Amino acid sequence: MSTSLEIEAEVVTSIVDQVWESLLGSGAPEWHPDLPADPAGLAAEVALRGDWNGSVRVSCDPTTADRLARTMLAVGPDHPLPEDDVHDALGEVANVVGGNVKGALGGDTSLGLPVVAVRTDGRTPVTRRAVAWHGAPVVVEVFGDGDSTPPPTGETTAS
Amino acid sequence: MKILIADDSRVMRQIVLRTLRQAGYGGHDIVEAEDGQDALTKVGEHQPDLVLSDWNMPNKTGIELLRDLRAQGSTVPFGFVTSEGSPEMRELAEQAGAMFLIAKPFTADTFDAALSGVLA
Repeated sequence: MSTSLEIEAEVVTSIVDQVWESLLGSGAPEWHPDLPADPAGLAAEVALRGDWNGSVRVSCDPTTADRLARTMLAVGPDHPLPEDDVHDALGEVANVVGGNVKGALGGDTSLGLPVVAVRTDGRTPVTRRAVAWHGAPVVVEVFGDGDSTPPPTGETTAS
Repeated sequence: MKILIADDSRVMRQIVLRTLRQAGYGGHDIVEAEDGQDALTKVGEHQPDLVLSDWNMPNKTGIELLRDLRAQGSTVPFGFVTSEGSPEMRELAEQAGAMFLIAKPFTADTFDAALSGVLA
């Protein structure tokens, strides 16, 4: 059961800024247009369990996920990139954001391993940050207990 | 010198390797391990001079790896590179014998500050 621990939007914004700078070597400008519906979007999600229960999800379209992975691995567009590496990269972004959200929350909470799956919608996040990445949105969301179902199982585990 | 990098994310192992180079530690031999159990085996096989390990991994976590190594009598210098850097985890890491904990996201300067006394 969740306690009164809370995560503020400004904290998530700061975490995302730091993660983008470190993992992607760039700033994290806001995505201003409306978020497009994308049934093929990929989502990496890590669960937090303990004094605070919820999850952190990072999602984007598959082309953008591929570009994120290529940037993180420093490989060019002509280099073959297995799907596992794309899932791994998106999962690692979620993992690092999740670890920092956990730290900002305080309390005794454990961080799960990232799970990557096709994005499903219908939940309302506690906070959401949409970052513009090469002309497409990358969405970072924090879901609290009650808004959150456990991350999907039976999909790729990446960390 | 030989450095073992343990992380279940191949992408993160590559980023750690790249950051080592950026921090000026690019001339060392690198061994990669994909989880704590794999790292335990490879420490025995390769006798690294330093272990850089993630904390949260399947099969065997980083802290379990460190405790197993110390229980086996290994004194290999050990540092964590992990997405969680709370004071409690830093204390746990230190108590188990870790020399440092680098929290993700990190920079080349972070690596240099942590490694300068180990790989000088």
